[in-house]
Amino acid sequence: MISSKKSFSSVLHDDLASRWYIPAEVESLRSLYPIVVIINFVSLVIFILRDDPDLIFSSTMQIVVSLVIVLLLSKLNQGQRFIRDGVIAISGLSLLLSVLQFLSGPQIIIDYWIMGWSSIPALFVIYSVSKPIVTLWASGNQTTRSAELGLYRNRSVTRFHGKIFRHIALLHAVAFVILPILWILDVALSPGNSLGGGFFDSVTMEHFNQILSSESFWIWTRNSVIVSIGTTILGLALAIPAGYAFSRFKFRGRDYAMFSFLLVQMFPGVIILVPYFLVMKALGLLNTSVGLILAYSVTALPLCVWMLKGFFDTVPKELEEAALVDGCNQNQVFWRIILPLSLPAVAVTALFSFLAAWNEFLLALTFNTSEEMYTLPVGLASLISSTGQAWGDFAAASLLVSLPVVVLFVIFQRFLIEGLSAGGVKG
Amino acid sequence: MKRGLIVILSFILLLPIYHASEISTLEADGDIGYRQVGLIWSTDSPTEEGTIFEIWISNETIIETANATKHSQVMVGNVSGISQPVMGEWYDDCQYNFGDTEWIPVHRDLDGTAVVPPGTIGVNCTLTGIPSGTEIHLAVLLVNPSNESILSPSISSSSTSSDEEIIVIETSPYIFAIGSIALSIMILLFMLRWMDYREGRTTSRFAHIYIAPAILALSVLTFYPVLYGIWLSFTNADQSHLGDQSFIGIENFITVISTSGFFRVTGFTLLWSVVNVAAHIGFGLLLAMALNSDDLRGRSAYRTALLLPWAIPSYISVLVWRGLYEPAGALNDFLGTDLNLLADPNGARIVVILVNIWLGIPFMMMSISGALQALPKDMYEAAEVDGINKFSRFFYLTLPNLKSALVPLSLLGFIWTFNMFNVIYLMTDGGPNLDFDGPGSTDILITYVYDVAFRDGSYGVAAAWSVVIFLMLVVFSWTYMKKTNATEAVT
Amino acid sequence: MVNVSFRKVTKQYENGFTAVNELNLEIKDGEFLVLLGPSGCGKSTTLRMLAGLEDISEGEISIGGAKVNDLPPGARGIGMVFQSYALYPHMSVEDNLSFGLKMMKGEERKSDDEVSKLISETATMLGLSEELQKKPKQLSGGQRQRVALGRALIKRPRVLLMDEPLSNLDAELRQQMRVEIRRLHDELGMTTVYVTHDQIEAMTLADRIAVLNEGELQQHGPPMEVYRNPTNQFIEGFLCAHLNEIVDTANALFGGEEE
Repeated sequence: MISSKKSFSSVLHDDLASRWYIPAEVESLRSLYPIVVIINFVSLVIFILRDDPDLIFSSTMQIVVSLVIVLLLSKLNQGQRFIRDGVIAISGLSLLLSVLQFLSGPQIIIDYWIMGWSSIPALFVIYSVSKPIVTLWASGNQTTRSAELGLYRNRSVTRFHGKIFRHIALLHAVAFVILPILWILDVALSPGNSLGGGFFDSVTMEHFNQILSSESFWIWTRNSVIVSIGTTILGLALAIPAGYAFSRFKFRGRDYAMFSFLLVQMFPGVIILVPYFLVMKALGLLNTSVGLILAYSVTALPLCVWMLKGFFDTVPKELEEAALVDGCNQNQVFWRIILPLSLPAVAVTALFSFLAAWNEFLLALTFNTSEEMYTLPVGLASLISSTGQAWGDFAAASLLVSLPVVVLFVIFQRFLIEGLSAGGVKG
Repeated sequence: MKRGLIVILSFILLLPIYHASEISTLEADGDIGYRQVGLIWSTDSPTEEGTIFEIWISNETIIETANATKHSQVMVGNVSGISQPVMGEWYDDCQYNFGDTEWIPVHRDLDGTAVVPPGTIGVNCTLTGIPSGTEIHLAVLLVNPSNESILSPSISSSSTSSDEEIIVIETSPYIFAIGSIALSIMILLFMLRWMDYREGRTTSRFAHIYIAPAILALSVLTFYPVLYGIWLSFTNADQSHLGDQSFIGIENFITVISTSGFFRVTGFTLLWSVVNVAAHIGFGLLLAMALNSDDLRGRSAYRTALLLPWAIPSYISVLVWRGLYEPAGALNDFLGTDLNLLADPNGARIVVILVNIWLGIPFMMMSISGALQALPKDMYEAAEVDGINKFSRFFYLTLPNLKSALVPLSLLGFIWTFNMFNVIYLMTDGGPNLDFDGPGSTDILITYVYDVAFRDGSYGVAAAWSVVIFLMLVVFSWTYMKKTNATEAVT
Repeated sequence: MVNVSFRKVTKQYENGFTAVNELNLEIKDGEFLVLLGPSGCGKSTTLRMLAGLEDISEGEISIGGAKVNDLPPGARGIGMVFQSYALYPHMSVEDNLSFGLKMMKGEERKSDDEVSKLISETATMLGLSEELQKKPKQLSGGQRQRVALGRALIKRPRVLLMDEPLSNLDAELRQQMRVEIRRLHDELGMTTVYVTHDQIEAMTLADRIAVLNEGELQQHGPPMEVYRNPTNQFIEGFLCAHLNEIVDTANALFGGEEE
């Protein structure tokens, strides 16, 4: 029945190590260099936008050179000394090109980045491919001992390179995230309404003073606070009992009711905007806080109900049953047992609806059109509009408005994300 | 040297005969529309080519332009070869005359600035975007070709919340509708509760009372407006027919389909959504994988930093990005370029997409991070023993196992992005090229609907657009779910 | 000859905990060795070092005479059965079995015909022919166990490693699988290393058992020899006393009835 008892792998001779050894440096370079090519393309685009023919030419050359390196690296194998020497020579060329390119450019921040991305990998190639163990491997003179040593080194080298790659990728992402934030800080601290100029070359608090002493900023803040707190309270008052009922009771119509909550979550806000506006208008709720509170607490309601239901589900039923046996009635159980136990969850839901109301823009823009009823989002946006470009004031106000929100978000990030995935994504 | 001399000479020669025009009359009219004010002025002599009228606006009497902001301007110049939109096509309608009573629509140059021919005496503009209900002050600053400027006297007016005053909406039908919905929901819940009671379900004694407030709120403030919106889409409701709108069949839908640029805006919306969601998932996955390592130093610092675009209120991030992309903004300093991307249709399209990508990555990163941690670890060990390399492990194990998380996430992301109003509205407001009677070059469906509803006041047409958008989303979601389920059944 | 040898193998974690201390052990070609010990004694760590899933702090492990300390797991010619089965959840049984084969590169690569022949052979051997198109989720515990075994065997490994493979099964199935595992070993004749904390499993399956405690090898030898001549207190308590207790209980129950 069984065709062969012989193990397939037994065709391998004793010298497993030499067969399996590929220097980790070469593997790393093989995954790194395609990324270098992509970055070279990005720099080419930047140079095209700059419209500088010399840089365009050198950067095109750089792409060609990097592609050759990619090709050679893929061909590099045991006993290919010739290719190894080629890789080193071409990398030297790439290094030379990148230095020339840097010297002929305007040498602003981005040029350092571009030069870094074309010269450091080339240096890395030259350094690692000329290591003795790689030389031995590439010249085909390795022994079992040296291959075993290489495999041993590979483990730590791979781990080290993996870490470096991760850090480089993450640092790039962080830079992309942080740059606009640094810039707005710079605008807030610079005198006048200048958008460009050097980073932090002259620092002034004038915009903060201006915003803090402006009446409208405080009016907008007051409106936002009223609306957000109102939304939180009303939203929780509606959502807590519903979430509890969905979590604990079986009753007629439960499935339909739960489905209707899910359905609303799927509705795009756009289909409601126009009729919402007209209903609010008819009821005289435009330019009031009440209108926004009503609208916000209902738009956040489905998610809040689902989040709370998820949290209530985790409170053990036995606790409740024990209280019922002890003679509490259903209402007492809810108020005395469930609510205190799920207070953290309620707090997270509250924070969620507060943040949603605090940051909402579209409904606030549509409903409250008079300046005394602006909330912060609409108010801040009005600083940058057709009638004004008060960038400095806007920057100062943005920082003031975002800071508490960001701090809250960062402190409660884990709970917020858990809550969202309990309520929203898993449905 | 020679040329300079000639210029100076001609200047000296011209000076005595040169007479600068001055504003002789200035009138304002607040009663012309919602957030609109009319402004009419005339000069004492025919204007010269190169003159500029700047309209300044302020909360207080304008004595100098320092305490006012510029609303718009009208230039006197050569009008041949530039477009002359008919009245109603532009938000700020302007007309001019040569001192008689015949008003001619102004020309518009590529930036949209109003241009009138030399010799113009009177100008009549409708200024939009005026805060309604508050008193505002207006003045015209006349800048002569010689760069000498003369400020007209200040005039006050207010954009009466005219439509709210002129059209008194009958409140009772709404109250009646809401009341009857509330009542019927109450009756329904009461009946359900009674039926439960009859069947003796003891656990549900309070259940219906508990859900009543939420269900009521949802019905009155969501389901009712949705149904009302669907009905509106079949009526001629607009700013002037509100309260007495009448059924007009599918006329609004025909208007929607025949809008010039219907396919363009739908196409761009699709492109916008697909590119964004793909980038969110791609970068989110990349970063989630980079973060998914226990021995990564500074992991929580990285995660916190990468969450910032989600934590910062989105309207603020968008406006900050807009500042970065302004010609004077930091982007040009940073790249060493001289770009004005927001003024170029394709540039603006790329820019809005980039900004939205920036905003959406953290959410996907965190969601995918959660999904990654839920993947079984021993599966990867088994694969190692099987001799599967890192890339194959990613493509054959990680991706297929993430699929059950990625399918709903991508659909959710698609719906959100499809309806992402803030980014477009605050970055470009649909510009830079505003087509009259059609969507702008960066408009997506929802921002265009906003314009139709709240700038044109065509509520019925806007409701029809909303219904069309909703149907598009339903069809898309349905096919997407079906397609992805189908592939799941095959593999 | 595929013998496995541990020479002064030590595993020390970064926090200083020594899981395995200077282990010396020779496993002969075709032998069925059971690593026995209470949980936390280092037996799983030993197996995982042999598989290449854990780094070796000191010492040397060789398979078939070649040092494998730093070879990647896939290069060692081993098959492994995990306690949790570790099946690929999104693949059918057929794909689970053949995934490793299909991903082979170079001269080891099998043609499609060879692969399908191996699949049907392995499936017949393990009684999985009817379940080839099912996903792991649709299988019972015993069937999943067979798939895991099949996945390890299909490449005809030089050494088969099993990490408590039966601990998630109920008593009856465990008995059945035990017989089957032994039969497969005898049929295919490959060197097998089997980790368990279950004394009966060890006694019934092994050619030789090696008892570990707190990272140290206590004793090794054929099962009955170890049982009869325990060299220290620990083995006395962990193996002999335990088995005696079972025998006594059985006697009390069944012997009592007969009387």
